[in-house]
Amino acid sequence: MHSTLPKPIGLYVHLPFCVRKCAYCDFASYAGRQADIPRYVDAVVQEITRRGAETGHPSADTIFLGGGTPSLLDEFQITRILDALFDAFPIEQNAEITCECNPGTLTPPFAQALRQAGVNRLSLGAQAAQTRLLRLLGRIHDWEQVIASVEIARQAGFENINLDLMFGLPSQTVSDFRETLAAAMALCPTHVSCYGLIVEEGTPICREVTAGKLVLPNEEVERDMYEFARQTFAEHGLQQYEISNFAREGYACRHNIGCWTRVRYLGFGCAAHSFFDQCRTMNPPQLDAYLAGEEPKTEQISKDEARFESMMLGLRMTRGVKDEDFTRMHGLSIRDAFGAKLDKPINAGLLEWHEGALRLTRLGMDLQNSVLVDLM
Amino acid sequence: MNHIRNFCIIAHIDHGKSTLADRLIQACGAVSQREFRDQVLDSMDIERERGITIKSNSITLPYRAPDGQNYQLNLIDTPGHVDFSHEVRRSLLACDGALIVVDASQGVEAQTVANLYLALDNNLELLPIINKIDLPAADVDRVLEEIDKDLGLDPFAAIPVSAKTGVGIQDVLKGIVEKLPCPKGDPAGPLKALVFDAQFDRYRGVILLCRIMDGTVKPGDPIHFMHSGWDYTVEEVGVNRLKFCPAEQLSAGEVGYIIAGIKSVREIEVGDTITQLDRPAAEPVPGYQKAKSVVFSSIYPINSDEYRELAQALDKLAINDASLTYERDSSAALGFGFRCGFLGLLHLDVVQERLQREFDIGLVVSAPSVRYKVSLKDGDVIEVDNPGNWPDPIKIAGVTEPYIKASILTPEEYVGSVMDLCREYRSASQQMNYLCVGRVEVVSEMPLGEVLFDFYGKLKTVTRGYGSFDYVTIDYRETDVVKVEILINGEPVDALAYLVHRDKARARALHYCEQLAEAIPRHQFKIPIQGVIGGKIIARSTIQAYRKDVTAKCYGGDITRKKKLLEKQKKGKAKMKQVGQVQIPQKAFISVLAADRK
Repeated sequence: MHSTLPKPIGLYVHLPFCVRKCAYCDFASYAGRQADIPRYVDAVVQEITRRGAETGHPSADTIFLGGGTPSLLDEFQITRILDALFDAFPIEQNAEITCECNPGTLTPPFAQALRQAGVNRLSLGAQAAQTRLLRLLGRIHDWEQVIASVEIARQAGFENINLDLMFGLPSQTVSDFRETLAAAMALCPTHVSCYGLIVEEGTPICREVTAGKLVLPNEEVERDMYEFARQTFAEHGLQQYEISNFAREGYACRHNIGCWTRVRYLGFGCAAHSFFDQCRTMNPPQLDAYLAGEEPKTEQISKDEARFESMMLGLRMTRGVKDEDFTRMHGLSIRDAFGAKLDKPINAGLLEWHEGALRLTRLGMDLQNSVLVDLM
Repeated sequence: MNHIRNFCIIAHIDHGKSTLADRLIQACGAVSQREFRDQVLDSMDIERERGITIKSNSITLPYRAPDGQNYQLNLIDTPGHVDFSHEVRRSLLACDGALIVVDASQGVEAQTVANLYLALDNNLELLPIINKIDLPAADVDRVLEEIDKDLGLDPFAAIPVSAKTGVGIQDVLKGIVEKLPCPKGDPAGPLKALVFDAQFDRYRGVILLCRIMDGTVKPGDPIHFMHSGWDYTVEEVGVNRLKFCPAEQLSAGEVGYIIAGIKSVREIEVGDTITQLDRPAAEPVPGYQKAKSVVFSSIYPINSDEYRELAQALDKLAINDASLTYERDSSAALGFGFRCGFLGLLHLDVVQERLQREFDIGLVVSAPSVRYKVSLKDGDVIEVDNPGNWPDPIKIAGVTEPYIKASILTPEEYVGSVMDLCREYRSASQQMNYLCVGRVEVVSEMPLGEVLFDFYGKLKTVTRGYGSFDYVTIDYRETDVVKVEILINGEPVDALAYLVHRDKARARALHYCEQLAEAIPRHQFKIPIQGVIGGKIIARSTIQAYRKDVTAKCYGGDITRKKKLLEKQKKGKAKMKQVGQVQIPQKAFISVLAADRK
């Protein structure tokens, strides 16, 4: 049986440094701490080496350098990290290796260094075409720099480029968003991540919304934007494969699909999460705590929880959760695991069976949380 | 008996009744400075906080007059609010005289007039007191004129005081002795004692507050309650000096307490007459009336598990509040609760607040209702105060509802607005009496069921706070009442049903629908909310289906937190009441019913 053969794992490195913290960001990210980058790179390289040995050097087929702003590192630092990963883990031939970059920070030498170190996918935080909205989000770039960054990436030999876009922004109109989509499509990305803004508690944007200084588009407008984005992407050959992700055939992000199908992954750096040996582990979320060598927190995942995770994550994808895969992973079928809990969302037209898989309907895509609550 | 004076203080709310009582108590040295606190006769927290008196009380004050004679002054404290006018009536029966307190700046108020009539009905001698003469706005001359014209009392007998500073207090004590009559009665006759209130003490059981009309009573006496028919043996008698002080006996003319091994105030009726079992009085003290609930409402615990606690709490409250009635009730939406009867809206408020405060129980209170008399086509007449018991309209031949005679005092410039307000509340008739320059009494007969819905609050608004309101229930009159049901997603929610006059049905149904549409969160589907009479929809609102309940991002670092958030969402859902497919948060019930009364 195949099932005994473990799948290659995913590797994630968190690089929490930013020029400026975005108004909506509640991630572990730090502005004005660039001086700590060398120390941080040392610590991450050490962690990679140690964890590689502890886990028995499992092979990996995806790497994701996320942030923060990985492009704030210099060529040598980023190369050191990638080399450490290659040393500690056998990396598959056709591995997908992604690096997040923020427009305005990506330089040609850095792009070339990434390419040479094996990175084959770039993800650009483009967000919106209007400088007004970018400022409101606390972003430092403008759309000209998005265009320039894509150009730099292509020059360096990157063919697989993702653009991050946002909608449902305060004061954003439907026509603003159309403009953003058109501008993004003009850049011919292979992949788009298109997110409805989540107003996280404690962020500057949340305070301003609460105080009534910023006004969010209502739910109807927000969903209209989402639907409009789906259609636009489809017209441009970008197929939806997850709630917020769209890609050309063959360009869906394998690293994230691994995460949604509960493939094991190891994360390095502050606030990085790992999923390994049925445990979810979180490194200290504070930069200083991480640098001080504080222990990660570990949580054992029970069987019930594991089954629920398969739904919570797998149903994000348009293909849904294959009963066959579920059964292989959990030792019982979806129906046996959830029984009558499936009835309500199915009858409400939110969930459906399709070619041996359980998946969200189009309506279900808008209401995934309520489906999940029904399955709990 | 010549050295006893039994009196009460009649005053409009805020005219300084409690302060005057406090000063009299201090002046007689009945309480040591150490034991004294403001509003000394009001023992309940809620009385002290709201500055109102809910329960009657009495205190015996020793007074040495300037001529060297010693007097026993029995001050009987009465509630000030219209809801408790029943208690006021009982207390007046125990008195021979009354101090009528009028605020030197505000003058005579509606309630003063109403209580004055009560006092006159009971043949009490009246002594007018003008209080708050220390205030800059005091207008003693105007008040004297009002005492003459509105109250018909001798203005020259009025005593000006400041209960706050203590000025004139000795004059009041002198006036009580000189102007108020001593009690009459036959100490040698058969025992006749009026129970004017009862308190419950955890260790001693029920303590009856009594006025001895005739005869004497002492420990060991077998006694008989003339109305309820119960028999007990007296364990202790005495007088209340803020502490219960035992005495050898109580005799005609005195006011004091009797303890007779009674376990709950349910067993006795306040207003009953006690006599001696082996030597009964020929007839009880006249004027006995049973306290009647006029407002009814269902009370449910917010948390259904707290039903038992609610039951125990009501039992405990009722031990000390004979006018509170309750019986088990159940709602499909809210589970088990109680249908309760109250003397009025303030009484309802007080009970609700005490339940929440003293017993820490969160409550949902259904829309208050009056008791309708329904004549059925088969000739039966039934009384209905609960929408759940409303008969099929086909069977109804006619309905009557209780009416009140409201007396509203208002500055002249607001008369028009007050009249409009009365009409809005289905007033049957309005009459105006010009009391003095600038002040008008509007007398209006209106349905009690209407007044329940914030008449008083609106009156305060249209008169900029100057209007005052008092009422007596008068009779039952023909009406056209309908039962309005509220359907949420097609399912009737029993706890939201209400009885209302047909003309008002639509407006209130609309209000309910709108409030609910705001308080119920969006669901996966569109939820119609309808107000319905019979099968006919009279009001409607819609909660749109939510369009979005999804998290845009969920990557490797978000999974643990995401699970916790869903856990929280699940718990929030579990806290709501499920009606059909719809989850209704408790706050929806509260907002709709609270807003309804506001």
